[in-house]
Amino acid sequence: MALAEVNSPVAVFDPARPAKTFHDSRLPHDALGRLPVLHREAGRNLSRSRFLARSPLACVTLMLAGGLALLWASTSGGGTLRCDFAWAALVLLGVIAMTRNFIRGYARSLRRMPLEEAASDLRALLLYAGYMPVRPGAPAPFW
Amino acid sequence: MPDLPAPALVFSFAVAPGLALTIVLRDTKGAAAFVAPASLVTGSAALMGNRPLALWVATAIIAAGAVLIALPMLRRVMRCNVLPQPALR
Repeated sequence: MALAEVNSPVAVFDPARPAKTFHDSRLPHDALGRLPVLHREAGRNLSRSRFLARSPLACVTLMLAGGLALLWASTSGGGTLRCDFAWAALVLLGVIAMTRNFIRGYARSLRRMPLEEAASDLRALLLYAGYMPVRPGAPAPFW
Repeated sequence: MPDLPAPALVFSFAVAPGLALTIVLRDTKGAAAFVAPASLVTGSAALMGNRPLALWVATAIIAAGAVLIALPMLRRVMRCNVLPQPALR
């Protein structure tokens, strides 16, 4: 059946129907007034998701810094094996927690935790990692 | 690395992870959460370590940490002033 044969009961063009212009319509000012708030909220969500997306790179950075510190400690002859192992395990614990937080807050498609909660958890984990620099028994204060 | 004097080596090892994380994360609060305790703890350890130039090293580490925390905040404030939020009314 051709489209031209369709006999619709609704008139295609009704000249009696009043034409609405932009000035005639009643603008929803309340809804438009919320647009800046939505814009700010979207910007915050974008920055949070970018922050979470960079957390694996931060984990790699932490592990590299920890590895360099252990290398330096071994070359300078300081630190026992037990002490080094405990310190490396604590750093790796923080890295594992950050990776888990990244998976729960960013990488998982279903049942993802809220971005705000994931970002605040990542900041708390960074605070934990910030207390890791000094190793007991190290020859010098370093990371 | 072994050719460097010890205070410079200590300073670089204390500041480099904070600098790297500040560049990687690009988040003011996240960078501050790592840099503030790291610089304070490392600076305190440098003070208590009886190393040569301990006071100068500790001061430099804490000052570098403060700069690392303040720079992203300053950049954020400047960006907020340059790009104001859109207003419809």
